[in-house]
Amino acid sequence: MSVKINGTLRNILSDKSTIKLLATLTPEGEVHSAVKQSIFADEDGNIVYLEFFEKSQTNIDLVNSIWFDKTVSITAVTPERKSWYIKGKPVRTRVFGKEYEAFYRQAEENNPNNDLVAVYYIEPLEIYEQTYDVQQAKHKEKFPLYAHLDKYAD
Amino acid sequence: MSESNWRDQELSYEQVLDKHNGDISKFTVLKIDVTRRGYVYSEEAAKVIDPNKHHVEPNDFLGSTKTTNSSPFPIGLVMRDGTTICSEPGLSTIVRQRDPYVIELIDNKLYITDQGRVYEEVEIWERPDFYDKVTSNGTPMWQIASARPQRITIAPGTKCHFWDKPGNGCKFCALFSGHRCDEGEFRDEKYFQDVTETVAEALKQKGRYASFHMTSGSTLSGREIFDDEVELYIKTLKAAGKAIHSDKFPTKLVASAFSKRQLERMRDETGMTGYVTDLEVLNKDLFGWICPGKTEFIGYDEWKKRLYDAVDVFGRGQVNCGIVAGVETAQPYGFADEDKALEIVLKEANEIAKHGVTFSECVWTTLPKSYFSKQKTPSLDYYVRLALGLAEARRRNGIQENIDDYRRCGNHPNTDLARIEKW
Repeated sequence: MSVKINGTLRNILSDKSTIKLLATLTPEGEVHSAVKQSIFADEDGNIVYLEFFEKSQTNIDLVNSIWFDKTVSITAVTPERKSWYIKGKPVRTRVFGKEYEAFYRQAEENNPNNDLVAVYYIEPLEIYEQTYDVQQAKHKEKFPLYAHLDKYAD
Repeated sequence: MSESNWRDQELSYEQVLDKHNGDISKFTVLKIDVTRRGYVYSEEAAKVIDPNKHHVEPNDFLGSTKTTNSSPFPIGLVMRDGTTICSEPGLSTIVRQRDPYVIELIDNKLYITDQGRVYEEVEIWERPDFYDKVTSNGTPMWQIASARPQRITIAPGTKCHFWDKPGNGCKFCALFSGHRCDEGEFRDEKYFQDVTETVAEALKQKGRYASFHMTSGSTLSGREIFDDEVELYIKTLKAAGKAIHSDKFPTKLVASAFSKRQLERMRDETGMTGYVTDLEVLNKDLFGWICPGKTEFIGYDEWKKRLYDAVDVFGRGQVNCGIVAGVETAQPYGFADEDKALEIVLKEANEIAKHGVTFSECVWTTLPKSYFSKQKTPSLDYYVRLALGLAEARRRNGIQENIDDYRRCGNHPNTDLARIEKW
């Protein structure tokens, strides 16, 4: 079931200082991940990813994901070391057309060497904060008996 | 009219997907089947078509299947994975043996449907911006160039001279049929100026074009056969190159089988980087029957040799052999058994691929103005197995698909599959 990116996370994703990692499955079933700063959320709460290399492993994997209904994941890490996990399903790519051309021109304005090859739309399926403190508190609450005995003695 | 029981005689789209589960994209299979069977717009869906926005071809660009007025329908569709369907509905329904797919309007989106089942969303190709412009000579630019979603196409010669001798044209072909009996068009300096201006205008649409494509019918004249055709391409490509400002750029010339000397001229005098010449059918005996003009003037073995020579000139992965996939089953001389046809064709494909040549596979459709208009095309499963086999021949021989892929053309199921191949 799909979920939407909220305003807070959208701002985090659009912040240039946020590091965004896109993990995909290769056609051979191996895991691949790469830092992709061209990920952001659109007004509808979906993920948009701009791909600049025709034969990058990520591009290959995203096509393969649309073809064979595979999911991907995105990890976003802020300068304050807060992090979020987003699982998503690539549902569309635009490799031409007016909508694509608008992104192409924008990418070229940002950097004249940019040569956009594809715009991917990724439908979020699951989102949660992965920041250490948050995960530790959640884990403690959910699994109160999974800790070493010395922790209880403290 | 379709045969009433055709669905009982072959595997359906779903059954073919099940059979090849995980081996081929569902979009590629659907593209093949929509091309093979044809499609129509429902009445409601047709209301969406806007010639000011969508790519409705204003004229009879390659002199193919239209006669007086252009089709009112757009010339292609795209699915959500970027796979294109290079076919228009006007060609679909009269002579094909199977029911066409129906494009339906559902919740303001267009979908490919069949017997009420909804398959994939499609969008209509957009009209090139330069179609509304005129050159300084007063020529409408749509008369100079056409386009696919990511390539610009110029066809400087509008006549195929294999047709000069009655019955000598390729039997599946309807291209240039509108010009079979005239002298073609004269190309003077004004024309080449129009080419430069049209390409320059097209490139103002940033991000639209990833390849320059040029093709024509065969011109047999010259000191050596095809010399005049080569000369025309050189002049046209030089004219286009003036707008591109690069010594070499992504190009695909689909042309006659030139000699090595002619190919070296093309390489040395123009920005050309990719070459396609079409054996059409990968069997010498059938080539003789289906392509009598090519057989008379060049012959199957020499055509193959020229493909190999082209690899020497342009490099591995820069030379493709166009084939009309499925035409090897045409009757009465083609293979009646699909398994036998695949065995023979793929064996020959592997032999050719060893020399660095890859394939541009067009799905054979029985075009109304072709000699084969009343033939029956093969099953969907045949086309899928052929696409997979051709892709495997490329991979096995370590050839990259550089010039005729989903982006630079979009008409070939086997090269669409290269999208997920690692280099």
